[in-house]
Amino acid sequence: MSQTRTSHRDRLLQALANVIAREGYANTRVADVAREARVSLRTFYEEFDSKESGFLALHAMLTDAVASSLEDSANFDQPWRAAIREGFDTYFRLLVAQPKLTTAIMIELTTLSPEAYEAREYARERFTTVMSNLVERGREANPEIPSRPLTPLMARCILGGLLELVTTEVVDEGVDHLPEFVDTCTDLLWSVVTTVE
Amino acid sequence: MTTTFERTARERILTALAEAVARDGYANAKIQEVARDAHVSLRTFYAEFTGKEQAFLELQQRALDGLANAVESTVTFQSPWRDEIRAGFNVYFRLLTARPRLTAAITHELVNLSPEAHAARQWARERFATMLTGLVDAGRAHYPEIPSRSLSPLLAYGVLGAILELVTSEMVDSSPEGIDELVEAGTDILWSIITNVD
Repeated sequence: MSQTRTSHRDRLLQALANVIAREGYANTRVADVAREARVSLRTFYEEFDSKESGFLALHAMLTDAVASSLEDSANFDQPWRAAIREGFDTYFRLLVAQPKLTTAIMIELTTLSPEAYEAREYARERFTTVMSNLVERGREANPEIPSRPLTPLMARCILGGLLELVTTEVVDEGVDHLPEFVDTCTDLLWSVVTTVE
Repeated sequence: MTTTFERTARERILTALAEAVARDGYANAKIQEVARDAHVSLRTFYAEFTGKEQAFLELQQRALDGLANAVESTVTFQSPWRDEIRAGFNVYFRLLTARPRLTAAITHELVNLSPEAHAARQWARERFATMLTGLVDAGRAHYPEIPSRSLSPLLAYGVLGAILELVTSEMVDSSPEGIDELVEAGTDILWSIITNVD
């Protein structure tokens, strides 16, 4: 029983991702998601209260997947700054690969309910933790480069800088040029961690 | 005479709106109450503004312009550079945190997607980016002995986002000590970026 339920939920989340990726969030219909997942509408509503709550679950799942992939793929066998740059590059490539999902997360998610605010907070905490952890690994791998840990507050600042650049760009121009922010984000993070008294 | 009266009505409406938003939040602010508090008729309100959003966007623009002016007039480069930057952030964060609900409305409603709100957001972004790059370049001219670099437009936007995140994240409370922490963090990030030269 519980295995079936889990697989229903997974299939629904995958279907929701597919439909949003194809149609955009506003045009996504719960009925289409259920059909794509080969489950009944009733099953959808057993798993999620609404389209929005399904989207928030999907957002949490994607956040965890992207965060884990950034942590797993980080490679400190190269100069430290290059490793940071590679991390931002990976992140922006993931955003570019899914234009409509990225738009849903960067724009629609900011105009939804208080639960959506909680979801954004969750993502911010997850990504600031990734940044701080990767900085620690970089510091250990490169003790000869003067540096300092990334505090939660400074990590949050840098993420805020990144999101400001991304949100404005997605609203004005879409996702295509997001990788052009890789150097600016690298510069922000690198400047902060390598500026020591 | 008429012009003076009209400007006064407009000013009173904006002041009343600021009070209402600071007290009740943007969504709960009622035009009837704003008009009453401003001692104008509803008809006068609608002669001045098309509606709540337009009035709020003007309020927002004036408030943010006032904030930028306050920062610019504080930073006079009489002290060591880093202290000047700290003084600028001190004014910025203290003014922003003085009326938390108004600030929350300004920072959150800016995300709103109406074309007018979008234009207001772009205006604010440019105003503060120009201020930031201008103050950094003025500082570089005053302190040539300190190795430093100018802010590219992208870095300026990034720094602005970083600073705004400090205000909106609620990671720090608005006690005097909390505000000191915001000031230090803002100073730290800007100083790190402009003095981290290869």
